[in-house]
Amino acid sequence: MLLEVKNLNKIYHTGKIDFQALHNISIAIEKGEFTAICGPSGSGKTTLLNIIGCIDRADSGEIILDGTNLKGRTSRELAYLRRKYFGFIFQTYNLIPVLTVYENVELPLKLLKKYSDTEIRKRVMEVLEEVGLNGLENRKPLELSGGQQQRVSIARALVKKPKMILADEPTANLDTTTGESIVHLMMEMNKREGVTFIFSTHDQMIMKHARRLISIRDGKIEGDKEGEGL
Amino acid sequence: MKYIFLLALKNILRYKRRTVLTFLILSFGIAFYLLMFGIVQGYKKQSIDNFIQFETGHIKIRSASYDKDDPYSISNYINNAEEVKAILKKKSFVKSFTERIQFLAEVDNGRDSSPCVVVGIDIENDPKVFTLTNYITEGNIFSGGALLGESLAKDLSLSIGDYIYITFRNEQGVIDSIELEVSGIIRSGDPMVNSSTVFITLEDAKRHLNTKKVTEIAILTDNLKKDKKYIKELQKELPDNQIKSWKELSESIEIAAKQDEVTTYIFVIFIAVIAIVGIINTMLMSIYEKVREIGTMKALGMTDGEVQTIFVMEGLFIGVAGAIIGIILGALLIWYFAKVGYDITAIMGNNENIMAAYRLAGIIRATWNIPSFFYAFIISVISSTLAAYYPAKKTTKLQAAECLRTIQ
Repeated sequence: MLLEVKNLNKIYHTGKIDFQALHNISIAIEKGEFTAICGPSGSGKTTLLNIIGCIDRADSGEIILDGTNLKGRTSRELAYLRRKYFGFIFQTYNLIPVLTVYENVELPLKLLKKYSDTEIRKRVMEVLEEVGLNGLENRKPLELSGGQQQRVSIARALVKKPKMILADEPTANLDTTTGESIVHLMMEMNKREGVTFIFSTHDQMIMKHARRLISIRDGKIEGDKEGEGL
Repeated sequence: MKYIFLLALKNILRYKRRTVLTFLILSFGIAFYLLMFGIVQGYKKQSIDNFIQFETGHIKIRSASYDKDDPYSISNYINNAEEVKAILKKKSFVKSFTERIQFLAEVDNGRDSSPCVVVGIDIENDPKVFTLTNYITEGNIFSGGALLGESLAKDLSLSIGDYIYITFRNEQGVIDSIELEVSGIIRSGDPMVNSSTVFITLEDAKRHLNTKKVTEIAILTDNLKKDKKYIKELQKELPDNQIKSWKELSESIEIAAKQDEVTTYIFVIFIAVIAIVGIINTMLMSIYEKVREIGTMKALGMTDGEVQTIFVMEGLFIGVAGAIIGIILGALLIWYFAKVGYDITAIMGNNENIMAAYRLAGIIRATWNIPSFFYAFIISVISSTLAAYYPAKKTTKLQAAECLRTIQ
């Protein structure tokens, strides 16, 4: 078991209003899964992914990652966990605009502080080729199309060979064809590298590629079933 | 650390105009500080040089009764001048010495008069201690003649060959008057000499005052910085004399220069505050514009400390750039004011009292002060880094998830 989430609750306090984004969510994710979390906007998909990815904290509940309970970890410890275990793909790509494609992709490896510059260069070029961006390494993100930027984002998530990649609506800002190609790329990486993918979406076309579909509505799990992608 | 450095560098280059504006404020502050410091040090040096070269020498020996509040009292004769001279001749550090008599008088051209200080100088030995005679522009000094400061001569419409009357009270309090021929005109960098001094020969002074004594002995030593040591040595052998160094005698100049330094520092602090507020503002704007990026960096695994370091480093770069530009600008200004100088009268007007107090006249030049460049660099870098610290600290309070939710 790679990840186990038990009874997660999350409440947002906005002024005098409390909004419960997650109600007693419990799921388990095995290594190598290609799982979609689906549901309408505001259903809690992003909150769940953020908590799984240790970039947000739950109000109650437990997360057990690779056999380790994350309860009570400091923000510094959580940063190191994110550095080591997770890759992130965002709906709006979130590339660092001042860095080139190459520099954006190498950043997670630099953070790990365990590779030489030669090893980093080799790995970055390899992953850029995998996502079909060779030759564009010196471009700045704003000089690329949306699809290309999302490919950079995927390369950035993949480059350190994380145990799990969390993708929050990775195709929402892309046209259908580009969105399809991004999902195919993710599927290919899942197959080839064995990386676990959890992605959120409310796009039916994307959902059909998932091997497991977790439906969420109003912060509660509505369904958990095998997807057509299986 | 390399990627933090790279990110910080790229970030400050992102909004070039804003970055340049921010560090230019700092640069102007530094350039201003360097220039003002150079000018203050320049006039201080010039003031002290004038004081030493025209009035005090390195060390001055007077009678024990000498009162600085009544400096020209005629009763201040040194009674043991021969003993003093004998001791000075034996001291290896004494390069030369000269005797002088100073007393207050009124100089009169027959129509107008002006108060003045009459200084009796030893024609043979005075040039060995003072540079006074190098500044004689017309004529000379000889027995029966008087050397007048240029401004004084101009005020009284006197020229070489004219006659003047010097009226004074002798030691017994009796008013006496002597007639002298204007034998020379002097124009020095010391306004006291130019505007209110009449030089006559020491022999004439003694004869007119009916004395064989002098009021002071000025000494030129081999090292003006060893004044304390030399005074101690002399004082041991001459316990009944008042012995002062150029430093003590020019104390008023030192105080005035210190006050000007303080004024400079106040201006500098004022500019530094503006620069620091500018940096804080720039950094805050920079942080608010990059909230999503901060979220992304944290999501990628950067710790709060690492993200904070990026922004602190941006402040450091602004400080370094501001210091370098400021130092170049300051150096150019100092170079100009050291080479060309500036006319003190253009700044202080014709206020002879102020100029006399500062012992300054004519063109004043700034001086180079290398430690001030070093301090300017350090102050710039430290203050801009500290200015960036507070906004950067804010990033540690930003949660990655909140940042990523921000719409920009």
